[in-house]
Amino acid sequence: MIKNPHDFMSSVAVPMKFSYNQSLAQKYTYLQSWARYQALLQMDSFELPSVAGWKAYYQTPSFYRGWINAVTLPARVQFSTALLVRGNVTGGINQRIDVVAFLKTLPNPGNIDSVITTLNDLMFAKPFTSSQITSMKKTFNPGKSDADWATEYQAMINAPNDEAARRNIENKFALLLAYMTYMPEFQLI
Amino acid sequence: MKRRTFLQTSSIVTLPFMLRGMAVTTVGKSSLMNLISPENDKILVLVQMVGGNDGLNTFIPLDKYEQLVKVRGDILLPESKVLKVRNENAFHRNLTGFKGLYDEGKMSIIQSVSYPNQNRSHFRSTDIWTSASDSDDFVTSGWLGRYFDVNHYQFPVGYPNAQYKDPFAITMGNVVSETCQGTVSNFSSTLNDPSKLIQIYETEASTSQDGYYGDELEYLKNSVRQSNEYSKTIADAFDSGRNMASYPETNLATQLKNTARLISGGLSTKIYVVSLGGFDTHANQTNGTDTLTGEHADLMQTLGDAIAAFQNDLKALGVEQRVMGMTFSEFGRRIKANNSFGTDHGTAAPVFVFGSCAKGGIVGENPNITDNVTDDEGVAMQYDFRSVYASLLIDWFGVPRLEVESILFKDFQHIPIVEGCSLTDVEQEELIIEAKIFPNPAQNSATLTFKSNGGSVHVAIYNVIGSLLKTVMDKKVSAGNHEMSIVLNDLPVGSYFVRIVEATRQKTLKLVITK
Repeated sequence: MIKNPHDFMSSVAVPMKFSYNQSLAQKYTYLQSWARYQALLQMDSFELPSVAGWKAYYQTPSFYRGWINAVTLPARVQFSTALLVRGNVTGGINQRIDVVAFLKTLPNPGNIDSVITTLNDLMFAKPFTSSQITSMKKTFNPGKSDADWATEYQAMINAPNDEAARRNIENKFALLLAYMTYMPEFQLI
Repeated sequence: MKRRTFLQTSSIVTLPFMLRGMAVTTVGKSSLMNLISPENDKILVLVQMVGGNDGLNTFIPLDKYEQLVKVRGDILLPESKVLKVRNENAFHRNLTGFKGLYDEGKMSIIQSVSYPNQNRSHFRSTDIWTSASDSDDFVTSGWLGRYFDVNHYQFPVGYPNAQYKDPFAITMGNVVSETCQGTVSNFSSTLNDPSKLIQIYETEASTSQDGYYGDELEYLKNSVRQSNEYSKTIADAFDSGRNMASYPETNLATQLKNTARLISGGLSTKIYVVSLGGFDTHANQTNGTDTLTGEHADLMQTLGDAIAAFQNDLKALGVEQRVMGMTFSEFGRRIKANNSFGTDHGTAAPVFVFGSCAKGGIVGENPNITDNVTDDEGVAMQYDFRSVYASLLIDWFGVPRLEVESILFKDFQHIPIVEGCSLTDVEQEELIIEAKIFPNPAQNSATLTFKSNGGSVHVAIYNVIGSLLKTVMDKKVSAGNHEMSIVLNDLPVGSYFVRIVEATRQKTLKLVITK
């Protein structure tokens, strides 16, 4: 089944432990930006398109395929890119998932194969193929080996105040996560 | 003759059927596809008026003005303020855009369009209009989807390709139009803002999977690829296209503005679907007793101004002869106003076809409105909406009649709405059949007289909410005057409509039964 917009947005935010720590007023502003995203993805909160509800739940023969089209698909990509890579700037606040904090919660963060497998289990219905894993690695960590990841990760852990080491891991891991959310497989539950 | 040679030399007319009947592998990437149509560069723009438009306040039958005052005086525009086009007809005061097009001969108005057994539910009726099914038939594909299906039944697999680079259809907005739903997939691509298109990163594909998971995954993969490829051609067309007229600042106008720019930029998309919502005017259709303002008046302004601007633009861009437009709405509204300065779901309403190739003028008679209008009475149907579709497919897209029958499931009356740029020779056709019914009111039976040109004649009785009650005649008759008796003792006391159709001619008569 294809995720509805709410499922999709939650499936980025929840497993990756998106959190915000703001004043109540800022939270409202922020959540409004989420509501706007959800509306763009065709599931405007509390605004059903008609008394019959959303087409994806009744319109034959496409049903939930109706969530996906040339407008909403790029919008899904924009949403996860904003949350993971670019940051979602609303009301002067730039919110981004703290991917390093998330990475640290994984069982074996220095081992990239373990990281990928854990994420695979956490967010996908079926296992990745080996060519997909190779492609991911090439994309998020070009020209580097699995051992390089282990070294760079350890360097960040060893030097908690080294901003460059942290940023290096943050950027790479954000790219890996973004790659996964761009996969057509990620749209399925 | 070898099968292949035969196919290559056979006429375009039979080709689509041959293709459909053949195994996919034998089609291959032969030159067959080259024989099919692309030289037809005609474009159709559908303007969906969502919610059910009040036709009686859109195109007002002035000869029935007295009767209208009695039943919808609350919302009826003052006779002195409407835009007269003939002695008996007038546009809503805010439809200056339509009046202009009509005066230039660029608008055909088809009166009282609906279908037998009007359902009066937004959803079901929208499904019927988009699928072109009978009201008791459930069809999941759209009429334009089936038109594309004939030649592109494998879509979306293998599309876009070198020959078909552009989307077949574009729905302006975030949701695809059901009119373009094919048996497998929707032929229309959604488009919000052509200036802000992005490419989706294409990730490594997994091997094909079985089952529902695999099917959905394939669908998604195709969607990504297609979205990216179509985005490129759309962005290119948008960049090289332009607008040469000014448009009002409304959402509908923007949709049409983008459409014109894409057409001028050379996009070969054949169908554009734009929409305007808010026609479900149960309440506050007018601003209280100020019938010149209110929700419906605003909608009329938006609609008329946007379409007029679009037509000006097309003319200035030099593509006017390639584009035809058509409005549609799921139903008309009732003749009687309700007590909330509004109107409830009804039956038939006019359809507006516009473009420099439109024949111009009014097709059909003014709605039949009597002094005894019941609460739930709608405007009786004169033309089946599928007749409008059929006529556009035949005269605008040059689709062979036989194929139109397969797209629309049966043969529909041809209505002359395209002229000049038509691909087929349209003869001057009579539109109204001479017919009378008496006595009226009648009791147990009535007599129908009509003058036939020879051919199939269809006579049916409808109730006031548009339900088909019985067909009283469906046979071939010789040319000349005919008289037939209609048995009425199986129908309760009340008002009815008798509709008679012969080829392109028709007439809808009101009949009252008393006991």
